[in-house]
Amino acid sequence: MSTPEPNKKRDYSRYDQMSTSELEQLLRLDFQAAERGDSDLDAILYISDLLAKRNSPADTDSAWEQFETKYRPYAHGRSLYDLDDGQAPQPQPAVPPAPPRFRPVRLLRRMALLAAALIACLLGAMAVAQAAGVDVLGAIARWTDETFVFVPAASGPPSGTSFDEEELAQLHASLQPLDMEGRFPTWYPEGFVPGELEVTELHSSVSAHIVFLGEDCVYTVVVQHYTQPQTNTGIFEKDDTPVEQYVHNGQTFYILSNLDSLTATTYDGEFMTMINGSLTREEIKAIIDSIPAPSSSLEPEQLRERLAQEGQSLYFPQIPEGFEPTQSQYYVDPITEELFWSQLYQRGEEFLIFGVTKHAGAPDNIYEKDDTPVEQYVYHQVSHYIFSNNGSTTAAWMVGDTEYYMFASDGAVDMKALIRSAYEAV
Amino acid sequence: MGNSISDEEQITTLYRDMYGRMVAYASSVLGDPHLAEEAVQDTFCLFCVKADTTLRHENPRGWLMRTLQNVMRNMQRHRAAMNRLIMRSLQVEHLEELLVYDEEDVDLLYGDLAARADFQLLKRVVLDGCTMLEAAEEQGITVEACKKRVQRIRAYLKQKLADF
Repeated sequence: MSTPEPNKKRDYSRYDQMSTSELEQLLRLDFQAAERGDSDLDAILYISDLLAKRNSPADTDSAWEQFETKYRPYAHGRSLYDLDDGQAPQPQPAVPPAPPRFRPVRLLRRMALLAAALIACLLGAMAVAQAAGVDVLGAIARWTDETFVFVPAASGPPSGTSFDEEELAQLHASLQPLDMEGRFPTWYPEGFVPGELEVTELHSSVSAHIVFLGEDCVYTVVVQHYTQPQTNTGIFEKDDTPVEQYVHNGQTFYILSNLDSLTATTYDGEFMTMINGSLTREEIKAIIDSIPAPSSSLEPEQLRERLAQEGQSLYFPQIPEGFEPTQSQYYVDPITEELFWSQLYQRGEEFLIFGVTKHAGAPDNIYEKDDTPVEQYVYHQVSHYIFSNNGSTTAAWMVGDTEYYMFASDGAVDMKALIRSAYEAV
Repeated sequence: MGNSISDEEQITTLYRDMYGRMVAYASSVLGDPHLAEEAVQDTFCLFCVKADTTLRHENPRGWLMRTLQNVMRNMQRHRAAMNRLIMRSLQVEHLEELLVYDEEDVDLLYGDLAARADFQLLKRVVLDGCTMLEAAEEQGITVEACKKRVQRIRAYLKQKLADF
């Protein structure tokens, strides 16, 4: 590829091995950094070029024709999205200096680590947190540039009120025709009074919202149902506080700060939920936590049937005696159709998690481990990787495009026997 | 004259070289290929208007990428602000009474119709995620006219909602 200032001393080949989603995440993180002038344009161009090559080729001829006939004739030196009055200062373009020739790449490397940490929260860290007895629903994900951990939320929930039965019944009756029942929070912080449910029908979406009025503050809950496929669901303004991801019922809520307000939002490809207003982080998380768990769950037999429809077997281990199933997670990504399923078993203080990820693309689960060696255990012509992580043991292996994993508290199970048992029933 | 033809050739070459990767970059940041394409087209418009200097910049590709970042940031900022404006408008008890332009302006004799039409346009651009061009083509107007109408309703709502 041609970079703006070719420089043979800089090697970007490490990006070649990264997945598309990791590269896209890097670009987004760099974009945030670019506001502070930290962007590495050479690296960005290299990554963008990689992505352009991986995607289907852009129709440059059509784009050029559109540019010449529909955009350029009306160009007059101000961006289309520069909507301020004529007297307002021009926001762009900022003519950049030539990229520095020996710019340190530490920032992007740190971002790569951060991207990996974000991916890790998908399964590894979340499952460990559950396994360790920390209720994910009441835990806060925290990370720095180098580490990612779950820690228990502040002691005791913030005080507030749940909708009473009559209010809930009313709310559900209004939301049911919109297919939104079960998507609204059922709790609100003390001092707020819920307003009426308002429904707005737009061209390609239906939104329902409730305004909660406090003494001198307000917050809003909006659930938007996109009735046509969307690739863009709006843009949220935020300040430079890092975005926090908060997982509830298998859905990731992004918590954004903007001056004196917080927004939490999640989108599953069809429904978008937004909670916005003058709330503390603890309050907004408690509101999120009050969204009921989805009624859909998947029993192991249903999972087996689902995989069988795609010509795959389910290698389910023989769960040792005394372990009882407690929490289960089941989620199908509406866009990629990746399937995530896991089941937590508990026997007193001991835990065992068995999980399956049916990938749509390259596997990208990342597991936490300590510095002890990884043991490779070959059985049934499959390599199983067993490693420890500070008090727990993990086993992970691939069968076709399906990734299996087990976490167990140290000493709770014989991991190899458990692996062998998975093949006996098939 | 010869110089301007040469400039045109340079612009075409640069466009063809950079378009794909700029769209890939913008799509990653914005999460929407259509908005990404519009941001790239917008960036090239700015480049062309200032071609006398941008083409002679020591690093035109760097200029394009940096300007694309600014365009996207601007786009995000304004779309988020307009999103809030719409949300606030929708909370107004009698929205239809709010949506009436000042009839002293001769262009807006039918102030209520114009305001409602502009509000729909604003919602298409902000809530439905349409590009300016998509919204413009639905209305049979140019992107510039679309921008002016969005600007008009935005300024109007900002002023009116300040009273609430």
